[in-house]
Amino acid sequence: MEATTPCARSLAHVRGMRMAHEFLLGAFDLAYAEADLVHTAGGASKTHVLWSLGHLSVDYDTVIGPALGLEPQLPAHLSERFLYGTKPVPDASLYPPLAELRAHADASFHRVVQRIAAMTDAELDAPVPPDHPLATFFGSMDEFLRIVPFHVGYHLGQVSLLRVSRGLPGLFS
Amino acid sequence: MGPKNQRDFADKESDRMTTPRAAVHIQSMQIVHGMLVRALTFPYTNEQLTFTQGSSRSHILWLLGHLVWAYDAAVGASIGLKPVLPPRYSELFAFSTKPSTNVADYPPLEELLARANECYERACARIATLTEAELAAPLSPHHPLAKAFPSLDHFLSMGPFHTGYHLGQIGLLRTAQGMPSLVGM
Repeated sequence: MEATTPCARSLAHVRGMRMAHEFLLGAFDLAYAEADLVHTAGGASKTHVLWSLGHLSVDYDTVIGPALGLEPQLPAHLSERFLYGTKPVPDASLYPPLAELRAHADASFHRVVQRIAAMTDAELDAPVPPDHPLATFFGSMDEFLRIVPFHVGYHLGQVSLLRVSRGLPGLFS
Repeated sequence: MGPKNQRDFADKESDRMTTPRAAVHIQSMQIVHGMLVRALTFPYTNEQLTFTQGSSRSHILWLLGHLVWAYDAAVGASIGLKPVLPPRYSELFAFSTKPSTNVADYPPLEELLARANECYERACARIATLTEAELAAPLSPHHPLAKAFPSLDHFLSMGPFHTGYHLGQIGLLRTAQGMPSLVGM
């Protein structure tokens, strides 16, 4: 088997993802009442904290992993609750507990970054596999991975705003 | 808009090759800057710009200005660039400043957009010239976030997260008012 040498770009991706993941774990570890978890901003917005954290917890396994050639390992019912396009519902009992989602997020994250850390320049310059749902959005794996910390930040910003709107400390308060 | 990729920046700045890590930072900034520009160029009403949620005082106008300020005062300062924004921007948009509900207290969106493009292009041009040693060095002790990051590389790695964080909040404030989120998330 041919040996691969981690490249500077892959390590840069891992660094950005690792820092974003630490913030995600920090968001899981905050205190929430059940009503805080399913509170929405109103209007057309259906997003709530529980869906946002669940969405990020399955993203590593069901979106990033398959682009890297990794088979999803999380139960299918999690994807049905949290993938792109799913509608958040205002009933916390229909979702797994936060502790379970946190464990899934952390395990999936480590599987994914282990793979990314070993990527070569050629692998980063390769296109996203054509059967991946986001293949047409990105010109290469490098471009695809660049959006990961942004995506985590995007949803954690919403988690923070939803918390502050209810009088709770934000993620960086 | 200015140069479209890191090679353009490198060619303008010097003959020195942009390092792979610097290229990742520049290309990441390109993606998130495009989203910021989209958020800045929407035809908001004054009420939409200052809409808030519950106990939160953050509104779209402050969040946009804060991201522009961060290009100059946080990113620019970390890579040795002198600030170009008027001191008023720090008073309005720095960390911990309190958003005003009066739109007239703020620069118009057109000015924020022009400042954002200016600061972004300056930052990309400078990052394109950074060596591996410069990226691995600690931030200046005078930088307000020097203690939070062990190196310039770590600090720049957080740029997309920070922009995403506040654009996510803008997206939420937009959808709560019946507007599209802009980035489809």
